[in-house]
Parts: sequence; C-alpha cells; structure tokens
Amino acid sequence: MELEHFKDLWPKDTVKGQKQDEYLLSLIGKRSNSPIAKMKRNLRWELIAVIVLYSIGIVYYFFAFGGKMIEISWFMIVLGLLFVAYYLRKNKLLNEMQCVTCQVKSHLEKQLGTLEKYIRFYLIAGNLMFPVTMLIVGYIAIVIYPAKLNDSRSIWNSEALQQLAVKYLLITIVISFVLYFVNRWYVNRLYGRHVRKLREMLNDMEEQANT
Amino acid sequence: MQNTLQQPEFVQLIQEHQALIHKVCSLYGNSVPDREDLFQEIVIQLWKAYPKFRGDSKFSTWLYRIALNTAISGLRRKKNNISFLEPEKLPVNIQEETYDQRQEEQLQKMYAAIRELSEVERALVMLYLEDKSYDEMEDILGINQNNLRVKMNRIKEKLRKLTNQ
Repeated sequence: MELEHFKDLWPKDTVKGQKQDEYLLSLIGKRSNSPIAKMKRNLRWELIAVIVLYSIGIVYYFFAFGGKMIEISWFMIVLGLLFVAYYLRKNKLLNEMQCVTCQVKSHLEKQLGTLEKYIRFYLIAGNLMFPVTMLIVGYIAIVIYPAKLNDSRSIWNSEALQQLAVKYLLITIVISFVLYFVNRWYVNRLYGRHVRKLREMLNDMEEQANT
Repeated sequence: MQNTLQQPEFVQLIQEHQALIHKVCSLYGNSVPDREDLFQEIVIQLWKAYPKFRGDSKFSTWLYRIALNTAISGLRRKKNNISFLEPEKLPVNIQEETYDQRQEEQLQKMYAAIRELSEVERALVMLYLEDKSYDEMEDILGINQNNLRVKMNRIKEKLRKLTNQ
C-alpha cells in the first residue's frame, strides 16, 4: 500500500473516543509527570530536607558541649550554602531543559545541550563532595579538636596524630578515585541512553539532503 | 497561577483540536495506558504554555509543536510495548470503516510500518497525512524544506518496502 492511499483513509478532523469537557478540566489541575517535572520536584524536596536537617544540626552544635563544637556548626553552614548554590544551578538547568513551544529541532538541541551541561555539573559536584567533606571533617577531628581538648597534644607535636593525618589523607584520595569511576558509571546509566537518543534524533533531522 | 477564566476557552480549543492530540498519541504511544499518559501530559503542557500563546502562529501549529515535543522528547518515560499489531492502535475512524479482508490487512501493515519509523520520521508522516504544507512542516519541525522533501521521498520508499515485505 502506498502512503498516498493511506492518506485518503486517514481521519482528518475527528476521531472516536473524544474526551469530555469535565475530563479535560480535571487534567488542567494535574501535575506533570514528565521526568523533568519529577526531577524538579525531587530537587525541591531535597532542598527542604537539607534546610530542616542542617538547621537542627547547626543549632544543636552551636549550643551543645558549652559551645566547644561550634566548628561543626560552621562546617554545616558552609555545606548548606554550597547545597543552595548546587540547588540553584540544577534548578536553572532543569528550567532551561524544556521548551515545548519551540520548533521540534531547536527543542531537541536545547535539551541535548542542557542535559550535557547538567551531567557535567552533576559529575563535578558529585566528585568534589566526598573529598571536600572528608578534608573539612579531618581538619576538625585531627587538627582542631586534639588541641582544644588536650593542650599538650596537637598535630604539630604528636607523631601519632601526624601518622593518622597521612593515613586519613591517603584513604580519602583512594576512595575519591574509586568514587570518580562509580559516579561516571552511575551518571552514564542514568542519562547516557537519553543523550544517545537525543543525538540520534538530531542527526536524523540534520541529515543533509545530498547524503 | 493561571486565570480560571481561561479554562473554558482553553477547553473549547482543545475540544476543537482534540483529534490531533489523539493522532499523535496513537503514533507515539506504545500501549493504551501509554497513550492515555501521553494524552494527559500533552494537555498539561498545553495548559502550562497557554498563557504565553499570543496567536503569532496558528493554534494548530502551536499545538503540533507542543504535542510532538512532548511525544518525541527523549526524556519521556514510556510504558512498555504490548503488541505491535494491536487493532486499537489504528486511529479509531480507520478501524470503524468496513474494508475487505485484504485492504484491512494492508492498513494494519501500513500502520505497523509507520510505527517502525524513527520518531522524527513518524512526525513527518503525521504532518504529511494531516495534509500540512512544507512551509508548515518547516515551521513545526525546524527542518528546511529541501531536506523535508528528500526525507519524505525516502520515507515513502521505506514504507513501500516495509509494507511489501
């Protein structure tokens, strides 16, 4: 059968199974179930959870133990601010990812470009989070606290603490290295197929007439 | 928050153009639940974009862009395929008509062949079947007309081979 023949049989203005007004009105109030909308909602929940949990932690360590562990509060404030920056960047990229009113080709280009930026950002943030956290925790635990709790013993005069610091650094480096590969594998598993699919569709659209 | 006064006007427009959405769903949905989900998602996206619709282009062009972008988007989660030659996958008007056995088989073959095309090719076929001019196709898809013509010829050839197999 030729496509022209199929075209003659193709329904033009109406199809059966038309939805009623009430049904359409009920859809208007619904939330989008697109993966991008879900990612935005999850990100918002993540932000709320971080704000609530970190606020409790910050207040606790600010007053607990007579204020001796106040550094932990500052550490959590720094991490909280970094998370807010992470949230803003991710939210901006997710907003840019969808342009449903654009021409199909520019929508796909936009989606691919933004998704690649999103993946890069995800990888960088994911790879930095572990070593940065470990270094700050190590600094508090190995450098600040021994000196605070026992004036005669600090990293500058204790061989045991120096050895501990070296071991701690080595472990951090090794785990960070392993995590880099785990992160790459995970990001590829999450988004790799979508990126390949988008590229494929764009290639299909960009295919030149003389090829 | 969108004005509730816009709701009846929006519903009216969707009613007038509902067939287009159903046809996009029938070409891109893998199963009945998938098509239902896609229909809902398209209407939600249309409603979200509606306040920004200024009438610079025809409503149907605007609708096609949103419907196809939603259906084609690589980030849409699809529900599993059930069966390729499910009769309900044919747009219902085609199913209802009475054809002889041979013609019915050919129709099913053609529909199955269309579903074997890539997402982009299916969009082109959809616009072709809807009798859209190359100008309008370019406006919706963003592919230049020369390219569209060549692609369309290739698609016709591909479908001819697929249906003759």
